[in-house]
Amino acid sequence: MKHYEVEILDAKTREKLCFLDKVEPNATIAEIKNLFTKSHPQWYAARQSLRLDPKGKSLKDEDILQNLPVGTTATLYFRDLGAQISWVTVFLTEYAGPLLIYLLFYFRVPFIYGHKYDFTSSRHTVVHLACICHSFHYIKRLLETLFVHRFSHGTMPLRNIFKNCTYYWGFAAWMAYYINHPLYTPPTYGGQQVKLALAIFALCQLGNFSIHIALRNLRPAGSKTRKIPYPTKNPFTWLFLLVSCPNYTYEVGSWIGFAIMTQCLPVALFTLVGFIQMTIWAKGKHRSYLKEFRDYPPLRSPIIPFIL
Amino acid sequence: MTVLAIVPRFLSGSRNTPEIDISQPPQPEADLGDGWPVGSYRNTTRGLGGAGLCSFALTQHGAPGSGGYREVEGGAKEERRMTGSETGASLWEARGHLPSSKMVFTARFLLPPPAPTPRVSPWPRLITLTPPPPSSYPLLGRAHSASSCLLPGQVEIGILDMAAAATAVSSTTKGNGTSGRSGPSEAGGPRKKKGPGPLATAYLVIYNVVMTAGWLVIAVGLVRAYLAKGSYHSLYFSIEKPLKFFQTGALLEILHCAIGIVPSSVVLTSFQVMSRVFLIWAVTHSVKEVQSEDSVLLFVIAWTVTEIIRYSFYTFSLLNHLPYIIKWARYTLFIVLYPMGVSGELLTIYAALPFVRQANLYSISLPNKYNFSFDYYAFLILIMISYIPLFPQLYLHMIHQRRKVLSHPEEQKKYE
Repeated sequence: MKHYEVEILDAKTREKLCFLDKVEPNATIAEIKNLFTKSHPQWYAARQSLRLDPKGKSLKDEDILQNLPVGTTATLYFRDLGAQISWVTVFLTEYAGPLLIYLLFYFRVPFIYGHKYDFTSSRHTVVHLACICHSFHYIKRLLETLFVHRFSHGTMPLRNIFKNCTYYWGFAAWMAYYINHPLYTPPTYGGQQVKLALAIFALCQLGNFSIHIALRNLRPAGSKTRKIPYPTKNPFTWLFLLVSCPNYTYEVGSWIGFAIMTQCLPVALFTLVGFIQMTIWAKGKHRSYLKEFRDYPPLRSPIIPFIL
Repeated sequence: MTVLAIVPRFLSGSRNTPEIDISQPPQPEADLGDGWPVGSYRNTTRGLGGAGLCSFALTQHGAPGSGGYREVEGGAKEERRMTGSETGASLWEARGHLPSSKMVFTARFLLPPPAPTPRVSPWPRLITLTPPPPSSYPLLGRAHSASSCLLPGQVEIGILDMAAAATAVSSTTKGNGTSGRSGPSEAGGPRKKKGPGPLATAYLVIYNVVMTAGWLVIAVGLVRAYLAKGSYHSLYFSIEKPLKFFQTGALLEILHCAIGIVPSSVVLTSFQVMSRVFLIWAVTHSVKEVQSEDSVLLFVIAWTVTEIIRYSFYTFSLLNHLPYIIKWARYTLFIVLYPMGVSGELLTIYAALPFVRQANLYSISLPNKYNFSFDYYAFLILIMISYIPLFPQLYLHMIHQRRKVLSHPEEQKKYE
């Protein structure tokens, strides 16, 4: 069996960074990255991007050396992706924040509202209900991050944690301030509005959870396979017939429910911004599904059935 | 024998790279969105910047030590001698040595692009797109260029003109020729797949001419009012209407970027135009008491001079006849005008504060049906504070651009 030689050059400066000889032909890129880390320990595997052309796409970890269009001496170009942080860490941080911050406002911790309101409790039922819903939502997200989701990518750039946390924590604080304010005004249509909104919220939470479970079941543990998701016996998953990313649909639905329940403009704005962002992601996902699978069901829209 | 070919080339992953490295490595990422593969030559002042407006490549054949490799034209199946392996159609990069200080180059448009890449929908322009679950979030904190919308993708080519480039191109491209694009009207939409078409170019010329004229009207109005009144106080009232009209008209520039006839970022342009519109309507117009302040004159003059130069710059560039004086003015006068404008703006906002507080202008307080509150006074203070990080960044960016644009007359390019 002929061994390969791998030469790793910096994509920007073309400086020779590493020369690996006696590399197995069936070595994966992941293994090469690990070998590279030995000579440059500051570049751990997650922050390496190896490619065949300095301007090309990054090679995947699963790619096998002998299947790449290289000769027996392969030249790979390296780019540093910058400090990386794991998805799980980012998710846990960005979801734990809103959970705690909302509770700070709910319990009217000092220095937020006037001193005479410290540690008082709202007299409106809907405020207590909103706290339960909001907390439930983020606890659900935390648990899903720990036990349900199967991530394709291990890491993301470090600066994302600052951006994401600012977004989540900032909005959570802004919403919580108004909902738990002593001068909060309950919904115009009273109990009816709250009950309806609660129903919407609960159904969408269930739906969102069902979709996450369905997506998890598409992919065996530890793998990165991609398959077309299909409806299962669970009625909530039947939205897959009409939509590529029903998890986003249900998510928007939950927040709409929450906005109606609290009748609070900042919540509506948060829902809107979230909707815009999720639509972009859904469109991207939809496009990748279409590119990857020839037999992708044509009836599906990215996020809203038939419309978007 | 060294042959200079001035066409975008496809370069394989050659292993002989080190011997023929150009002095500066190519730009890390510059998908200019026009269907051409990515890659650009970077000159000694660190390259083309984000716009990558003009790209070119040189090849050398048979030069000693070059390893005898030859690049291949993007997309076309040309014969090639490669020492590395071919990786695919869509990559190329600039190689080779500069034989002299004058470089012949052509804008990317002169050859038809390789296989068209799917056009990215407008959505991703607004917010970054990442695979789900998402990691990137919209908009936050990317400081880019100071000046607003780029001119519609025209490339200034100094000494070397299209003709020279075109001849070189046609002599080396076997039959692909210059058929794809013709002439300067399609020049360099370097970021766009197609570049602004002739209709769009005509529209943009008209737009820019109208805006130049409009700001000239304002300038003349100011001068006449000064001469008539004898003092420079309260000149705002004499140019209030044209100022509002033409500054608000700049909102169209956001649309231009959004529909793609101007290769600039929608976010950036929006930010810049909205800040101007905000000052005109939400501060100066809304708080009548500040209209007689001198600070208003300060920023009006700064804006007037800047805009006249900027719009005429765009007009001339679109028509491919940019006088150096205009370019010089655009990239030099900002040194004084920008701080002047910023001071005028800040002083005006500061002057407006007490009146906003008094009248509780644009503010909502609790309790109300929608459980929302907004304090315009605090908002204005936040705006003023935001100048502190933003202004130095933008100013330094412009200084940097100036160095690049004005110090290389033979490689004049348009920068954001």
